Amino acid sequence: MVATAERSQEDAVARIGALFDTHHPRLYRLARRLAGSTEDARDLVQETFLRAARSPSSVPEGTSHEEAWLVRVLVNICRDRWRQIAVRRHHDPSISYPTSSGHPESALIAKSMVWQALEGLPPRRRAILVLYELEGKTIPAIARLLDVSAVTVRWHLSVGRREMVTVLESGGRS
Amino acid sequence: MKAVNDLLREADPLNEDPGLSDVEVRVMRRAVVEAANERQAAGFFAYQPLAVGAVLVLMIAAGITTGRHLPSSRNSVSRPSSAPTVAEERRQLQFATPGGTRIIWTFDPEFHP
Repeated sequence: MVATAERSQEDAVARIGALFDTHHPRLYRLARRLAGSTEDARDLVQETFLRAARSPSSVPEGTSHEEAWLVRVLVNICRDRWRQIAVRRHHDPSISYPTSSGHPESALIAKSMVWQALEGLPPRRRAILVLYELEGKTIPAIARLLDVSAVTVRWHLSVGRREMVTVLESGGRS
Repeated sequence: MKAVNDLLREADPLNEDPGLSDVEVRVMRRAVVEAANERQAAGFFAYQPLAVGAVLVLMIAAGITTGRHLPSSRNSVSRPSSAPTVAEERRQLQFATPGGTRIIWTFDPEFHP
């Protein structure tokens, strides 16, 4: 009985290792596009895998299911952090959402503005925009990945684009 | 004004981000695997007190059940008691051990040493 328990323990740990090896590059790419900095992206990826490590039984079997689970957890962590900042911001308006570090050159300032506009979007909307516009995922694929309907994805895409344009036209003031 | 996807592509932080270094990947992987190990070990040991408790409860329940089915030894704890049956004029000596075994000796009235 003890030997069986130890074997299943080893299996679970090996599975988490394999999960990390398979998914960390793709998860980091998504995290980097959702987070304001490299450090935040690293934190997001680590926290996502730590959640998997803490409850390995909740991670579904199969590469695509694993990926969808990890993406959902990552987006949820983003949302939690975003909400925490929103609450703090409600009490202290001087607190801002995490944004990319400022760049001195004008081209980089423009880039920074675009990314700042993206970072101003709610995390799920931001994730949908990144998955569609940058990763080239289809609407049904995003819907499956985030466990939402295709209509919801389309709505977030439309609203997200409009919000970004509004922010960019106003010169980055959100 | 450019389309949103063009703007996003141009401003994509991954254009200038080399990604995680090998060292970062190793450190992160170790942290994740250690967390999984700790969690699994904690889970395994968390069940042990439960198992010990369950065995104790079972043993107590078995003891109570067995005790109810055995004859009471309260009245005859190692104390010999003679109970002659008048009808048969046989003398008996009965006593019970603490374990509950009852021993009955019947004396033969025709026995004369």
